[in-house]
Amino acid sequence: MTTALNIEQPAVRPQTTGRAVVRLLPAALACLLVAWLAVFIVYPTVAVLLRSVWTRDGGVTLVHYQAFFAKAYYLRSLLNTLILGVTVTALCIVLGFSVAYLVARGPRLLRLPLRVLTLAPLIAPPYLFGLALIILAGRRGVLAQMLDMQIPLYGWLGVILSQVLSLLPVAFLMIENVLASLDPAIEDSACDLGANEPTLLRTVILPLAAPGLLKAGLLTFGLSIADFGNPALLGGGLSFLAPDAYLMVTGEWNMEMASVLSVVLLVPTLGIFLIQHYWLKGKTYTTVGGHASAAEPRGIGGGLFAVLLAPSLVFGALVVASYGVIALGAVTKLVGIDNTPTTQHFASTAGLDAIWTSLQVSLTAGLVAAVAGTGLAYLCMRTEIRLRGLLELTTLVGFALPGTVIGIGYILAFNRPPLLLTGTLAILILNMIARFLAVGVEAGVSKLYQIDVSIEEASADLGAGLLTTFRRITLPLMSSAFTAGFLFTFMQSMISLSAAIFLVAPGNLLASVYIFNRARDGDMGIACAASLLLIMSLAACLAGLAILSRRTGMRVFAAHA
Amino acid sequence: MTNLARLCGLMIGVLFFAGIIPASAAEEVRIYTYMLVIQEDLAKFLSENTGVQAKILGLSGGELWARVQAEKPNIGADVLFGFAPGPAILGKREGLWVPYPDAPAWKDIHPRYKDKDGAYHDLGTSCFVLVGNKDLLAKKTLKMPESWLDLLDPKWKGEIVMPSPVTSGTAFMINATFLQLYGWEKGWDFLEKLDKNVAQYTRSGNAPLEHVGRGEYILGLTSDEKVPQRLQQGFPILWTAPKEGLGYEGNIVAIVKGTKQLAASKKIVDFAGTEKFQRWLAQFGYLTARDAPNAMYPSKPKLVEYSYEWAADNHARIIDTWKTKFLRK
Repeated sequence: MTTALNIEQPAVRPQTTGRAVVRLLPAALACLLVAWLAVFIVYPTVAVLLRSVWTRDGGVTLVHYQAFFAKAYYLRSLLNTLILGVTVTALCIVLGFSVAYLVARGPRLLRLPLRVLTLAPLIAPPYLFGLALIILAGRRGVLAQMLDMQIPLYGWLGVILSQVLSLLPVAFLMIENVLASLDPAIEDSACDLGANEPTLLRTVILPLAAPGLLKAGLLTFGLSIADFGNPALLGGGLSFLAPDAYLMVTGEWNMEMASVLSVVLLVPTLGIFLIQHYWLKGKTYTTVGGHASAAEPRGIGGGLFAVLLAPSLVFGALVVASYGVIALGAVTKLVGIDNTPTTQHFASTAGLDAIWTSLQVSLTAGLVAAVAGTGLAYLCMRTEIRLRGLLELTTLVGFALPGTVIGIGYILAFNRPPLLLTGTLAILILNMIARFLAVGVEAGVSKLYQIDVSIEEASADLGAGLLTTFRRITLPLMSSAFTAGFLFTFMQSMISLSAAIFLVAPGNLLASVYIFNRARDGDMGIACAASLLLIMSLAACLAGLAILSRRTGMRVFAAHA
Repeated sequence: MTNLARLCGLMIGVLFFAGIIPASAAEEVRIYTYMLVIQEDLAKFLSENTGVQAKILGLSGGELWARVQAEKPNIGADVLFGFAPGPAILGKREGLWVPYPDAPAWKDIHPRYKDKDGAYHDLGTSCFVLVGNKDLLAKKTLKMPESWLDLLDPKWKGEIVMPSPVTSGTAFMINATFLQLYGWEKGWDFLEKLDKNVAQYTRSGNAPLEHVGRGEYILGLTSDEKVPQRLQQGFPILWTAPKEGLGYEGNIVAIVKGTKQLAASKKIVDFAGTEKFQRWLAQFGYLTARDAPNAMYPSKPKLVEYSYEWAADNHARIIDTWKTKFLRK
C-alpha cells in the first residue's frame, strides 16, 4: 500500500532544497548503514556458516556435519532442544491465553495485579528463574526441606519450569494484543444467538485469535530453543544445543563443531522467521474498525473463571516466590540452610563494577540503536533508497539469530586484524546494537506508516529544506519509535547473556555474565545479591525515564503500535 | 534548532558518561586467572601493592587454556596469573611466554617453583580433597571414606559430585592424578567405576564443595581453594586427605608474548614472589612457594607422585578419552 506510494513518487521533492549536499546526505547515510549491517550482522553470520564447512587449508568439507549426525549424543541434544521448545511453547500459549483472557475479561480488581505479575519477569535476566528454582526446589531447597522430599528439579522439570517463567511475558503480551483487537460486539451477537461460554470460546474467540496465537507460539519456540542460561543451570545430565555450543567454545574452543551446532540451531530459527515474515504477514484478524466499539467486554462465567484462574495463580505465586527467594538469598548467609541475616554478599565490588559496565554498554547501545533504527526506518520509508526489503530483513536476521550463534560469529569475525575488536568494550556494544536494532527499525517503520507523507510535503512546499522538515516535522513525530528502540535495546542489553558471555574480557565483565558465572560456581549468595542490585538499577532507570517523560511530555512508555 | 542541539548535547553527555570517550590510560594489566575464589581480592591486592591497575577475568582452567589457544597470536591478556603447569609447559614449547629469569623477588625461591629458563613461575600448589556433608553423614550413619577406593562402594551411588575436565582445571588434575596413581589402564577402570556413583559433573572445581556444603550430595571431590573460607563460615563440611595422598597442581604465572605492558607485567610477576604476597596467598590455604602460615594445612599433607610433564604431554589425550567415556557416550 504505502510502499508503492513511496517508490512511485519521492516523498520529499529534491528541487525545493537545491543543495547537492543535502540531496546526497540520505544516500551517504544509507551507504554507511548498509556497510555497518554488512560488517556487524552479515559477516559474523557468514563466518559461522563458513567455519562449519571449511577445512584448515581452505577446502570445503562436510565431515563436521557427518560427526554431528553420526553421534547419538548430538542427535539427542537436537531432539531434547526440540522437545523442550514444543513443550514450553504449548505451556506458554495455554497459560498466556488464560492470563490474557482474565486480564481482558476478568474482574477489574484482578486485572492490574495479574498483569504486573505476568510482566514482572521482564526486568530480570532470563536465567534468574533457574537460580531461584535451585534455591526454592533444589535437592536441599526450601521446599525440599519443608516437605522433606526430593523434587527431581535438575532435568526436564527444572528447565521447562524456568523457561515458562521467563518466557510467559512475551507470549502474554502478544496474546493480550490479539484479544484486545477482538470486537466485543461479535461475542455479544454470539451470545444473543444462544452460544454458551465454552461454545463461544471454541467457535468464535479461538478461531479469531488463532493466527495471533500461532505468532506468539513461534516467537516463544524460537526464544526457548535459543535460551542458554536455564538449560545450562538446570539441565543436569540432559544436553541441549545452545549450552552445548557454549561448552564447545569455552571448554574446548572447537570452533568447527560449535559452528555446526550453531547452524543446526539456526535451521528451526530461520524456518520460524520465514513463516512469520512471509506466510503470516498480514494474517491477523482485526475486528476493531475505525470507530471505537461501545460495548464493554463481557465478563467471565464462574466455571471458566476458575479454570483460567487456577494456573494463573500458580504462575503468579511462582513469580513472587522466585523474586522472594532471590531477595532472601541476598540478605541471608545461605537461604534455607543458614538464615542468619548478613550483608556479606554485598561486600564484593566486582558485582558493582559489572553492573556499572552493563549500564555503560546498555545506555550506549540503546542510544545508538534508537538513532540508527529510526534513521534506517526513515531512509527506508521516505527516500528513494531501493534496498528497503533487504535492509529491514538484515536487521531482523540480527534480531532472530540465537545469541549463542551471533556471539560465536563475533569471535570468529573480530578476533583478527583488520577488525581486532575482541576484548574491547566496543565489541559488546556493537553486538547489542546488531541484535536489537530491528526493534527501533520496526517501530519507526510502523510509525511512518501512520504519519501521512503530505504533512512533510506541506512543510517542503512552504519552503523548508529536507533537514528542516526532518527536524521540525518527522523527528518529533517519530519520538515514540525512538524511545521504543532505546528502551528495548537498553533493557535487553542489561539482562541478556547468551552472546555477551563469549565477548567479556578482563575489566569488561557484564552483570548478567558475572551473575551467571557466580551461580554456576555455586556462590548463590553473591549471585542473588548481584541479581537484586541489577534488578533494582534497571527499575531505577525505568522509573527515571518515567519521571523524565512526565516532566518533558515525551511519550516514553507509549505503545509502539 | 534548540531541540536538536539539546538532543545532541544530551547524547554526547551520555556517551561521555558511558565512558566511550576513554579517560587517559594508566598502567593497566589484563589478567586471566583460574584462581576463581580469590579473583576479586587478588585484583585489589595486586593493584594496591604494585601501582599497576590489575583487570582480572576469572575462567576455569579448561576455559582459560582454550581461550588462550584460540586467541593467539592476539591473546586478550598481558599476564596469566594462576593457571595449570601442563598448559604452562605446552605454552613454553610454543613460545607463548616472555621469559623473566632475573625477577629479583624470585631469586631465593626453591628452583622447583621456577622454570629453568624463567619462562614461568609457580606461586605454590593447590590440591584436591575429599569433602563430605557432616549432617548427611550423621543422618545416614556413614563414615568419611579413608581411601579413594572406598568411593567405588555402591552405597555412594548418586551421592558424589565432581567437576568436569572439559571446563575445570581441578577436574583435569583429579583425572590425571588417578591415572598416575593407578596407571593408564587401571586408572580409567577406576574412573569408570567411580562414574557409576557420580551424580553430577560440575563446570568449576569449587562447585562440588558448594553442593556438598548445601547438603545436596554427601561427598564431593573438590578443589581445596575455598574449603577454609566455607569452614570458617560454619558450613557443615568435613574434609579429608585419603591415605593414598592428594593430587596437586601448581598455580603458574607467566607473561604473555605480545603484551604492550611488559614493564607493568614484570612488576606483577615480581611482586608475586615477595614475602608479602606469598604470606597473603597462604592465608587462603595455598601451599605457597615460600613457607608461610597456612589456613588449611597445619603441616604439609601427603601428596601422590605427580609429574607435570606427563600431565602436559597427555593433556589432550586425557580430555578426549574422558569425553568419549563420560560426556558424549
